[in-house]
Amino acid sequence: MSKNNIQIWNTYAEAFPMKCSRLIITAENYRWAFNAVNSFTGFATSVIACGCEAGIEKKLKKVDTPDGRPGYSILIFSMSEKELAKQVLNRTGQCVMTSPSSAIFSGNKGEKKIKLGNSLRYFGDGYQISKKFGDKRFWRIPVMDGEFVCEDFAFQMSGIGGGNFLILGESQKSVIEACEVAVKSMKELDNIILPFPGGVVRSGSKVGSKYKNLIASTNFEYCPNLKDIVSSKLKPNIKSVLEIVIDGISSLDISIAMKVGIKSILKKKVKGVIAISAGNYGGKLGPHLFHLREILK
Amino acid sequence: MSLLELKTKIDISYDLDLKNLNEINFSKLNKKKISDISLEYNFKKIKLSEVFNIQILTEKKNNKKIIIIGSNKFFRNIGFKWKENSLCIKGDAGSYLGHRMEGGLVEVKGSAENFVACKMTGGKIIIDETVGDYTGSADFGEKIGMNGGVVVIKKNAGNYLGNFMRRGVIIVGGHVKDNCCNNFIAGTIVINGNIGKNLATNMKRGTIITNCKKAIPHKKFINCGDQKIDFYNIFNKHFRNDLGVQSKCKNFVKYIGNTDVNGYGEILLRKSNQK
Repeated sequence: MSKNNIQIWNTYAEAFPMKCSRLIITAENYRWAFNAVNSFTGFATSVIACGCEAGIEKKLKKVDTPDGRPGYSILIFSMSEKELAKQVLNRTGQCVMTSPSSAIFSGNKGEKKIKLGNSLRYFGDGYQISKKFGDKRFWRIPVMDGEFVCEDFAFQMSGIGGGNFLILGESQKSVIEACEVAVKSMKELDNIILPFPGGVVRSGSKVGSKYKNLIASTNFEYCPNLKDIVSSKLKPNIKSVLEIVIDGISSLDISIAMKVGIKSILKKKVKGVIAISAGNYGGKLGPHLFHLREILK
Repeated sequence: MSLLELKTKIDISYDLDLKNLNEINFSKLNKKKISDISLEYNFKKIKLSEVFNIQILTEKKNNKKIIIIGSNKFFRNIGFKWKENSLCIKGDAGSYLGHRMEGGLVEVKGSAENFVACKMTGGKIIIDETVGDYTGSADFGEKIGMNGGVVVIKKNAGNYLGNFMRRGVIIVGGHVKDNCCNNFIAGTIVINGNIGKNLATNMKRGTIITNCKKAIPHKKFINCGDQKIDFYNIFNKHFRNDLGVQSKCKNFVKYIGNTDVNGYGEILLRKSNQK
């Protein structure tokens, strides 16, 4: 299958179930809301070593935030309930509470609660104030610029991590350009995040390593520098490969994001892009399979 | 929504206790069952059908709305332990409106007497006119008053508003008489008009939002200066339909007290439209 001289390989992306939560972070203006969000979602590219994957879902208008201030919606994913709760609490305490004028609220409802203000309130050392309206409780914690307002709990929901596609091209420059086109279009979508820097990852990994203690190592099948010495999937004209990883709330969200991203590359006809592929582990890693050719139908 | 209309058919000139009206919450609208609900009129037990003409206007599976027409100040305990459903009073209500109310909505198109929302734990009460004394307060001999829910009084309130109040929100569109927020444990009270004497005696925690500077007991509350209360944005958004014209103000002078009881209650004096 080929479109606009770009081959779509007959393969699939393999994704796995995760626990996730949506949070809304607001501040006095978008600049400070972004500073808080940027800090919260920093060092959150992969669960391999970060504990979680997090990113900005969308920019929110004032009317869409609980306190009527500018804000962002973020999604955070982790492999277990315990780790998700730990990451949400630690990152809120260290990255959001510390950011001037910030406030944090839950962005979804669910059965399972994740402590936010319920734990952070103790920072108020007895001067914290609780307010409950309807079914929501808020904490007002005194800080040096006024008050840090946060909701009592965030909520856990199910998510999917590891949706992906690979862009293969004849030069690093052309592949980066194609990635930028795809990321720009995918960032318009709700319910997904692209957790890696700029939405793109160059160090795609495979499960395991020849070193005992390493749970992941370089995906040598897609490394151009190794194609003559290992069993490579790359043809001689492919000199560079980049991957876009997608975490989403449902498999539909991920397949839509993959479709939008790939189609934007095909539409733009970026010079030097040779093929689109996807990363999988033979169906061993997770139950969610996204077949490229089916998605693009 | 199922719609039930209860219209008085006799002149009520003695206390009518409607405590058992909340039985409507737990069953389907059945005219016979409703007729048999036991009420107390002038200390005698009577059936509901002896006081009201009962008319079921529509019947559907979801929530119920009960309309009471022709009520007056003798209608006590309206909304006692009320849950989920909507109750609309086209007239005045007597004492103990929304007593121990747990949920739902009670709307009063006229005024209400004393002890509105006494021991209330949830739901919302909206009163178009005035209320008497002890709104949101504890009952006689008890030490915890309103413990949740929202009360909106569009005009004036009497003495002892929020006495021993522990949780919830009371919004008063007009003026409030003396001894407001005495022994206030926690919760939020917004007063748009003037306040009488002895505001916030023995206040421990909680929030009072007001424009009335002269009512603040300056000797017992510490002036913490001008403050921008970001939290008010959430409050404002949640109650924007109930708060009145000054809802956009978020700059306040904050007072902390009452120092007599080492309290950490706050009085937020709006910076605009001070009286």
